[in-house]
Amino acid sequence: MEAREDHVKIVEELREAMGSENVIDWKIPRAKRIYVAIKAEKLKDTVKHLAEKDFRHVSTISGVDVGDGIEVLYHLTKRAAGKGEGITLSLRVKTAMENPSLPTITDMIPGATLYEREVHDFVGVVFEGHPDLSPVELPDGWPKDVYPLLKKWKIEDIKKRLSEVGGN
Amino acid sequence: MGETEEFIIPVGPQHPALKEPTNFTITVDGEYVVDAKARPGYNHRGVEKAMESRTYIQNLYLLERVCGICSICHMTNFCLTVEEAMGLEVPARANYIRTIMHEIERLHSHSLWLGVAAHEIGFDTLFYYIWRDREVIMDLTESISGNRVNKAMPTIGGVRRNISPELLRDIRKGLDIFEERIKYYKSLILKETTVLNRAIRVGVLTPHDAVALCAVGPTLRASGIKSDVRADDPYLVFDEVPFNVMTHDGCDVASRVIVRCDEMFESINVIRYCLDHMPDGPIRVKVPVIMRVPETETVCLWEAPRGELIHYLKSTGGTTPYRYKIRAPTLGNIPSVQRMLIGNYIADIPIVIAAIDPCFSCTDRMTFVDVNTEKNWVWDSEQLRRYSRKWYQQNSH
Repeated sequence: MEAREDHVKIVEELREAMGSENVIDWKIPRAKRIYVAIKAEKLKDTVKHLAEKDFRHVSTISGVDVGDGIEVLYHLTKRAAGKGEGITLSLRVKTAMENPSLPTITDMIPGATLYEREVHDFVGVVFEGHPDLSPVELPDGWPKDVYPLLKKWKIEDIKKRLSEVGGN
Repeated sequence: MGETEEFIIPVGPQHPALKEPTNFTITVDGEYVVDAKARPGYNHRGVEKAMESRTYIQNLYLLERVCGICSICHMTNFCLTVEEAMGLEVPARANYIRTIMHEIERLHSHSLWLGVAAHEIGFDTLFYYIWRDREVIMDLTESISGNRVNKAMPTIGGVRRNISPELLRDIRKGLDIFEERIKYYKSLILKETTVLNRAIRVGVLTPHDAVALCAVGPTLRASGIKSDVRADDPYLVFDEVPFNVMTHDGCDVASRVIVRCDEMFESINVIRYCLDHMPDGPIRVKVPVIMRVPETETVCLWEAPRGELIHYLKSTGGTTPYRYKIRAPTLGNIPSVQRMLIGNYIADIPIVIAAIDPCFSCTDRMTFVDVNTEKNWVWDSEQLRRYSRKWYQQNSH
């Protein structure tokens, strides 16, 4: 249980630094896993705060269509030099379904560049300040209105739309 | 000319390093690379979207086909992700067998890579020798699982095949032979100038850049950073098995070769430990074919041969995943390889790209652009490789 107390401390410090009203929700389902939901306007400050606490490695960024908006999860990992104490904190922010937008974190963590582009490819989140949001996984001629991992795009509809623009 | 000129060259998607596609746009100034930009995605198959309309058992086999080299990694990590979401306890023996398969996969992957690296620098004799000896591992894989590539060993709740006492003896014997050969290759590589001339101080990635660019796996460890998911965030039986996280502080292609060789010795020891300590008992718990996963989310990290692999599952209680996210290690290493190429010769591009052991599940061609003359041209892998070997023949002393 000692490890869990460490985990709670990480969340407490974050709540203190960001203001508890900005930390919407958090959970620690098991050792080495923390989930924290924060308000989008505090994203950059939170990433900066966590980087100072050794959560410097972005394992990846997941974009999820949750129906009434898009959730973006930053899976930030604290490495442990082989000592078994690594922790992955999934930082959750929510943005609107229409014109989804979040500030980029690539100025703080350059390793997040491709992950932000990938989220832009698949669910259409625009990362303000990102130097180049050109497609990273989708082909160059991909129709601009199709964000394939949004739930409204069924596989058949994507095929139909692609045949209209002459893609395959 | 006095003032230098830059030139842009596209490299890929027919790949300069492996038989898979990605494109690099390389800006050069004379023989030097001044900028490099990768454009992956040529083999994007929409696996994540496809998963949302398939059951968990169907997805198990789809995930195995994400990668032909580390099929066990994706498949087993998927099992861990789903088992955690369902609160399933897997029998101890199953976890030992999973660990054995996982490390055997690392042996085949690292030795495959070592052969490819030899080929990239024109040392085809070494390439053929290594791939001949890799067959020992491939034969073991086949006798354990029945297959060489897609092994279909793990399943949700355990593994599908057991390891018999006879097979146990064969594995030990095979490992002894393989270990001897890798020891020999490592000692050969360390004193062979054909290799050293092409690997030392080539494709440098400083520890600072490796961390900032979120490098993973042997690429990270060869820049002196001690980090390995197996040790940092142990899964399967890695909290019991003693092993070392191998690092090297040369930060170059040579370091990446050494780290991978050392990791093979560690993997061999991990497998031996598992063979010695494997408990008896069942190898799987039964799960329904059409299973419902409770509303939850799980994140599982895994140390694949190329580095950290992460899977994220969001379930809303249905029989298919609501969202499943996969990030394979090569995507994590692309920002690093872009940095490594800068400052190197054009002739070093193939070996530097090969040194992250890229797996695009794909093809690459390269575009080269000269900043001065705005002339540009396209080379395929074979042209670039030929250029690279010829250049080194003429310019080495």
